[in-house]
Amino acid sequence: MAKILLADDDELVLYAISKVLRKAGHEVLEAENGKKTIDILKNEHPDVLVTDIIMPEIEGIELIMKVQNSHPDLPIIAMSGGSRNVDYNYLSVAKKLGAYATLEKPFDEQELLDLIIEITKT
Amino acid sequence: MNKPENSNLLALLGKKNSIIILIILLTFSTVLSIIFVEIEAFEWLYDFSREHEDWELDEIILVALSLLISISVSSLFAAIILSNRLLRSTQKRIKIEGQLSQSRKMQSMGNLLGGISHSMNNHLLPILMITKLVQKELPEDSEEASDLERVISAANGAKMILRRILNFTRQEELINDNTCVIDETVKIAVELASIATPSAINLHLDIPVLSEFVPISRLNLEIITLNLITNSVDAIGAKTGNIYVSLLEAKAKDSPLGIKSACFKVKDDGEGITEEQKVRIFEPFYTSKEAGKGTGLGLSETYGIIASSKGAIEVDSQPGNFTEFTIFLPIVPLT
Repeated sequence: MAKILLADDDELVLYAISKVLRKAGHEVLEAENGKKTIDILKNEHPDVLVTDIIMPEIEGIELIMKVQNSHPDLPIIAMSGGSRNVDYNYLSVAKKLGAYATLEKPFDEQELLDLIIEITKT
Repeated sequence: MNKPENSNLLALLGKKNSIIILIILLTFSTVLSIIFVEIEAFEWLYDFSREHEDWELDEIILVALSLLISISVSSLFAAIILSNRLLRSTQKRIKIEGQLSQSRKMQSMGNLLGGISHSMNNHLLPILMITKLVQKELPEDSEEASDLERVISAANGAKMILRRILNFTRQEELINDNTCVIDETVKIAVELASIATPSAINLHLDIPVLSEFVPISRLNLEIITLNLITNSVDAIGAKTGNIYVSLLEAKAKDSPLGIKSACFKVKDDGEGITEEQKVRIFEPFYTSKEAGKGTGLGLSETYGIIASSKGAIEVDSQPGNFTEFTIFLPIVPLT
């Protein structure tokens, strides 16, 4: 089973995804923003980072860039409920920056679980 | 979408101004004639030419008069041509300004709806995930499990509406990696749409082999084809009617995109739409259909998809007669 670092500023989203992942037998580390995620990464070694894009303090895109530099081998799954600005699609940017996969909220939990199995196998 | 073009001098000046100018010109020429008569200008000219017959003034006057007439006529022509050019450039400017303001309106609407969709999608995630988790804990045939299935179904309905809104808001996003062969895709989409078309409506197809690639995904082209045909079916209603679906290649000069384009038309002889409706028809949630018949998202979604493919969509209609949607999609050159 995998150790997953989950970052999202929405308390209920964090709760729901954590619950799904734990029920599936994974270990979950929770972070409510980008800054906290970076702090956790200093002491922990997760197998996957699942992060939201639009977050306070350090937002998702910046977080992906920082993590790509500090932990180039850590696979990232980016998720978003859609863009706040029509000119900018965050998920396609995340993908271009090297995210392993992207998920549009609200996604089916099985999609996320399948992705984690896929990542941990490789 | 555009008002019929007025291309004459009368339209440029306006009826009232034209009459005023005509009265001024008539008054001026009448006064000039009276002055000429009063000062006996013509008699003086006649006497003068008789006195100096050797100067051959008759010929000179004739040549001068001919020149005067030619200059007047050519000036008049030049004035008409110039005014028509001015009129055309003014109309073009007004059209561009109209398109810009429409595009700004659509963009701000997109920003607003993009923000709402983002929040709503975030709220839907825990609703769906937690409900499914709780449902799994319940016996499959229990009433509670079946009630939770209804909650999931309602949340999925909301999710689908938000996905369609996002199709509208993502109009500026470049989707370069998606192309499809236009004629094949349109044929498949029309076949799908024909299944849901009532038998009283005749679907006429004119889709020649046009093996050109357009920058739009197969799924999106199917979505817009289905949206347009569904609209036509609703516009015809319970009556007998016709839907004409056609495809042709438009040369650069005939396309609003200014490059060689695929031109895809869907026309129906249904109830048509008014000028007021034309202005608002691509706005999200705007519908002219009766309550419960449409979401008001089909055309805004179509508009967003076309814009994301750097295409254009136009609508022409006559209330009581017809409605025609024309879509231009740039043809992707094969490299």
